[in-house]
Amino acid sequence: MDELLQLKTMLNPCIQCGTCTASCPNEVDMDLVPRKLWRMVLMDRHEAIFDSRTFILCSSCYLCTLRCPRGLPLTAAMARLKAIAAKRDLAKYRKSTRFYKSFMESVRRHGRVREGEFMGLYFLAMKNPLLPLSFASLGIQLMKKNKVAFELPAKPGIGNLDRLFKKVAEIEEAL
Amino acid sequence: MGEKQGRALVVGAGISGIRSALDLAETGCDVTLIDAAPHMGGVLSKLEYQFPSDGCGMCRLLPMADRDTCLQACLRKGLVHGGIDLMLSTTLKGLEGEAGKYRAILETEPSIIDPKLCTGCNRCSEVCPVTIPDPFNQGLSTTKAVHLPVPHAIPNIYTIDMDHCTLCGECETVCPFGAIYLPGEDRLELKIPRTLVEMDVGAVVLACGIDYYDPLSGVNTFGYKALKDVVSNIELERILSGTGPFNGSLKRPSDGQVPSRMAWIQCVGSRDLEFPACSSVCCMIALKEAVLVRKRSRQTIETVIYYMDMRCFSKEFEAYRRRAENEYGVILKRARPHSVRYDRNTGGLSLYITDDSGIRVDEMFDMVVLSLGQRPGKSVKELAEITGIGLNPLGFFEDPLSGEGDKTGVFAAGSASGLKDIGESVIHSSSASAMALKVIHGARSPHDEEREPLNGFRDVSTQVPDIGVILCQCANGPDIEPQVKSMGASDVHVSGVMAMDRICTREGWDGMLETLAEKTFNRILVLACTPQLFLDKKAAISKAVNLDPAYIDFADLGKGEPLAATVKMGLARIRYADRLNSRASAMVPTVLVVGGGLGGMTAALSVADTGFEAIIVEKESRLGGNLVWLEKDITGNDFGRLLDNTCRRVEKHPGIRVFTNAVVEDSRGGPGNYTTSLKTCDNDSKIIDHGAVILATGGREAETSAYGYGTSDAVMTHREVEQALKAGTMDPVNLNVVVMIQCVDSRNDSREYCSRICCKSSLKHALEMKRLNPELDVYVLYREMMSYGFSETYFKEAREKGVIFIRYSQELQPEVLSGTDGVMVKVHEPILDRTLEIRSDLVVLATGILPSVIKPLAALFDARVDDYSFFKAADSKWRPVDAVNGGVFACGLALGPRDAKESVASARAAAMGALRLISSKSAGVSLVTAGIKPSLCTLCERCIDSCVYGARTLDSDAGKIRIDPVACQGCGSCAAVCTNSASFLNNYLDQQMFEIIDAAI
Repeated sequence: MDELLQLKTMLNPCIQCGTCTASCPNEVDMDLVPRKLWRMVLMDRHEAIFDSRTFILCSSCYLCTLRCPRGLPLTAAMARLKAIAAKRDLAKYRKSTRFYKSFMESVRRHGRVREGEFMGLYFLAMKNPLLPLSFASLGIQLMKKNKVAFELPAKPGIGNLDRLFKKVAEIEEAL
Repeated sequence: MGEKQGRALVVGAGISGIRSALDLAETGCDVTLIDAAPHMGGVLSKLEYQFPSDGCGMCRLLPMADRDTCLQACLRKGLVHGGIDLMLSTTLKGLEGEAGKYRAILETEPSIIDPKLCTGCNRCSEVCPVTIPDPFNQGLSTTKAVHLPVPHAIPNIYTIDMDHCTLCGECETVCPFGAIYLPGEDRLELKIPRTLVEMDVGAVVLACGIDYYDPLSGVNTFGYKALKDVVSNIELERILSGTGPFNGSLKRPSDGQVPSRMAWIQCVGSRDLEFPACSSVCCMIALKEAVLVRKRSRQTIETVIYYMDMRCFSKEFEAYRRRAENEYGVILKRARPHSVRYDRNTGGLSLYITDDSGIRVDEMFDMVVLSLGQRPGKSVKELAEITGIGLNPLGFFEDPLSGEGDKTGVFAAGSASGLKDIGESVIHSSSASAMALKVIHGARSPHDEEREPLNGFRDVSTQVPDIGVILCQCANGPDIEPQVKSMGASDVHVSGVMAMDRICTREGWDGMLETLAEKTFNRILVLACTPQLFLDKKAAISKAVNLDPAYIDFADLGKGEPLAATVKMGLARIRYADRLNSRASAMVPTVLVVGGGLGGMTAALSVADTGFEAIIVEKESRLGGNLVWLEKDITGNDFGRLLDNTCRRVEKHPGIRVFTNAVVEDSRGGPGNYTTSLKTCDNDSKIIDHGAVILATGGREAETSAYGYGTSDAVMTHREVEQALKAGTMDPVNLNVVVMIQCVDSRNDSREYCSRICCKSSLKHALEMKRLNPELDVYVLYREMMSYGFSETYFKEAREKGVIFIRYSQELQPEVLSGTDGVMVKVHEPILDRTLEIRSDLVVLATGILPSVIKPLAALFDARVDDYSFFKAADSKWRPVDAVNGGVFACGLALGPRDAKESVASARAAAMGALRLISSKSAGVSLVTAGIKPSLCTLCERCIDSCVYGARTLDSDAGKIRIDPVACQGCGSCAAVCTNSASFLNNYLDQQMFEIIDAAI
């Protein structure tokens, strides 16, 4: 709850003007438009917040942050919600949070993403044997064009970003 | 410099400066009025329409007593008053000394065109090869490098924009009067020395106004200047003006087409991060502009205002908003557009907004108007350094609550201490002049005696007119002498026509006086250009020829005036010129103040501090009014101390008499001379004579039965909370949830007006409770947060502290259900579109302000109350504290809801109004005053009904209509309604007017 309280303090000056919603490119797909989401945060409606897919649809374009008349860090607030969802490993967001995690894991190991490895990590994380099948047709197309190579997850090699990730983890811990 | 100075310096000649200068000049001070611009009028010279009348009314600022000391003409053109020296293109550069004994250093820009020689003939502009964007029209039209800064100004003197001038010298050669001196031979030497003047002044009033936010200084997401059809609200005012870029027809700047949809975007540069304050006036400006556009277009142009809170917080504003919406069909949408985009396909402008439902909509418009917020005036900082007056964190002049005890003689007036509408500016300026007068009174100007008018002139009233005509001739002007001479010869009353060489020059003027002194004309007509400026010179002529100025007149030979008509009209007018021999009785130098609250006491102190007498009548047993139960205001001013200080000063002041437990019983008389009887506690009657009356009867928190008030202890009003917090009977630490409900019984059909201070009270209490108990949940249920001006910062602070603001609508009001453990408040939350249930320990109701019953009292003094039972001001903008008849004033809550600071300002303004009246010398009657011929009068009393100033009464003993020459303002209504021509207006007689009309055609 502490993180949500922090978020609330951060958003307290919100005047509910709706500039964020009017600016958001993904607003049409959101079940709670950003303005409502912030209102929920201010009103401590935690179930409602983590029942919506709003923050997970945020593509971090920063338009709302740029335009907010109160200068609130709204994109950062979205990221915080994402982080909370990942930390709590909420079922509703697993698809997204584990996707992010697998992506970053591959980046950590090699300093860049290895598509094959990333896919493998993601499928493993989702623990669903049927999942790969749903990506089959896209996967075959990509492989035909040599965009994706089959690669098994490998140990961190040259160019790994261990130190960087460690440092970031330390900073986040300190927050 | 040892002597106390009777001269005041007013910096800035906009509305506020004009008001202050007139205030001080009318009370007998000498005033120097300076402005940095080459014209007077400030921003108002560009604005033609003001709500609520949607017209102008600036002339209502003109003096009502001693009217002849001031040119009775449109103030947007110019101000000519015998006691005011106007210095244009002049700034204050230094100020030394102390209150009452300052030495001011004034710097005047070098004038390339000599204002004494320029006649405004326009020849220079005709030949000027340089075209520039016209600053008067905000660059929407073009003008020449040498141009008139304001087309309607008197005097009409050209200026050269030296940034654009190519120094070609064409204008210099063509000027028939040699008025233009372009700099140096080598034409590179542009540095003409500026003139510095040192002046001894007693007090300084700073009325330097404000600037507006420049959209180009930020990210400019609205595309100002990049998109031609995005204009600022001042630009729109210019477009709507008859002297504007399209001669008053509404067109969009890009292609000159009439727009079909227009949008206003509010809060541009206000209530944002950089400037966390509200600009107070933009909501009303946008409403007014939208109404004007709807009226002009016969409701064919759709007008939409996008707003955050529609702040119609003054007494009549809410009614205006309702009219705008219901009668004129102005559409108000609560939304905040973030950018304006150009639509290639239609050439229109699109706005993305999201409404309450949360759905994003894309709206198309032809024209977008930005309501630009305020910024401190560019000279504010420099003036603060020069004068030592403090600045608030946003860079405006500080506006202390009482200002008593300060040793300064420098006072801020009008918008320089925060943007105000015209009415508030006028109040605030008069308040500043009252404080300035306190400093300089007693050291009246040495010219005082000169102004003692009208004794010992030769009596010519019974003589046959013997008119002398003076014709002012320029060497280079057309030779009209033979024509005028032949006209003079054909009029039997004219006994001489004398041509003079340029009486606007010193030699010419002296020559004229010498010539006149030798003659014995009993009427003198002077033909010259811009004779309006000769107002103060009339006195000089009158002295030279020992003739009452009533028999001296001017006719305008300015450009475009047909000569024959001008001369003949002038002759017809002067032939009948006369002065009524009725005399006004002397003003009683006492002011009666009814009500001893903060307003009443402040007004009495302001009157008494300038050497007049004040009498306070208070119906309660002690002074103080509402201040007794208030603890402090939102900014933390301690009301207890204020009350003690003010009461002590009132009690100790030798010029103030106080009657407690007393009421006004009856009154007779008119402005300048009232006789009033008071009923005191022991049923005694007391008769007092006074010249003016100030109603400071106050108001109270409205009673209510809404939201279960009275059925549960947990439902309280703000007054009760204030008292409980002050007495310590309420401790917020024991509370968990507090709900405050705004606009209780207010802003609805039964009570239309906004009470203006409740939002601030709620913010004050919410912040105070949060301070004492940070864990407390505070919900404020509001319809529109009226945290105008700098109180916006407290709105922001309350949000930051975690106060939750929930908006409700008039249709979906909150419900309060009392239960065993606290109260349940149900409210519909529009953003979430859900009904919330808040279990709270305390519900605080903002019930608004009701005035004390003043209708019978006002009626005694021939003043009226408005629809809401507050005092009805003669004009909410230009005469905001006075009744129509000019002898009755009101301040504080009697005038309308206002906070303590605003009450103090209105009290000083009311005192200033009373001082203007009672310090008038008024030995003679103004030239244009109504009279009556009793022999023709049938006593039908129509004239009495028609007189708005209450100047006419029926003297039933004598069987005559009496006219109070002080109250009469020469409007002529009585003469118009009189069926027998018994009522007449002096100097506008029937026969005189017929002859003038004959001469004109």
